[in-house]
Amino acid sequence: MLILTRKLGENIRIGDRIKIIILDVKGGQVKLGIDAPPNVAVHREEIYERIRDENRRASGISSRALKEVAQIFNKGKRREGEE
Amino acid sequence: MTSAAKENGGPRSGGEVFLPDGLLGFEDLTRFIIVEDSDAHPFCRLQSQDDPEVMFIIVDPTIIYGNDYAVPLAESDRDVLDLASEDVVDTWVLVAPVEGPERFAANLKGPVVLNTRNRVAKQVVVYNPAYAFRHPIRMADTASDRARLKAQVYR
Repeated sequence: MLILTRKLGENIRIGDRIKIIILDVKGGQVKLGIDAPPNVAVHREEIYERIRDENRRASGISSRALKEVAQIFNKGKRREGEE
Repeated sequence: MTSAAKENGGPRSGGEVFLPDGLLGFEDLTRFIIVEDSDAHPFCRLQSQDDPEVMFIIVDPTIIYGNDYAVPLAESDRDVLDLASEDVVDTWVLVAPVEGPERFAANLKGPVVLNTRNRVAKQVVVYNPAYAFRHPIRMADTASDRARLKAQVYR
């Protein structure tokens, strides 16, 4: 892994089209500005991790669960119809 | 930005699906098939063709969230899907078991977007704070329903 030390206001370039700007450093927090072309998806790592976790939970499901899900959903639908 | 909200009455099941990037955590599994079971409607199975053990339950998000569920697509997403302006896109969300009385919930933050022309799909990350990682499996077709459901969303 490449490790670079930067001061406030200094930048990092990744290729020709991606620029990362150190906007603020306060306590344990760093505020970054990211200039990237629209074909580059920029997300916090946590959201990927969370979706990965949810995918893993979702994958451990059985065929029987499919019918259960449908039953729960359709029961709720009927109850709403009665109101 | 392109909205991948449902068009032409929502996703249709059936047919093969190719996920070149896989799903997050399942990057090696790229070939899937969407299977509809008549007694499980409106839920379908997203069955891996590479690993018969791997199966996901999926549902049209507009059924449980409402017709205004929309996925903004980045250019990188459009590139993977080879999306042209006339293409029709289907959107599915994954259902997972949860603890508690709800038993199951759908992940509105990580929908799978499918280009119906070439059957290429991609799991997309959506930041919209209105969409939960675990959204209840309930019919939501009116604004009042949605407001009520939103209050029940647990994270």
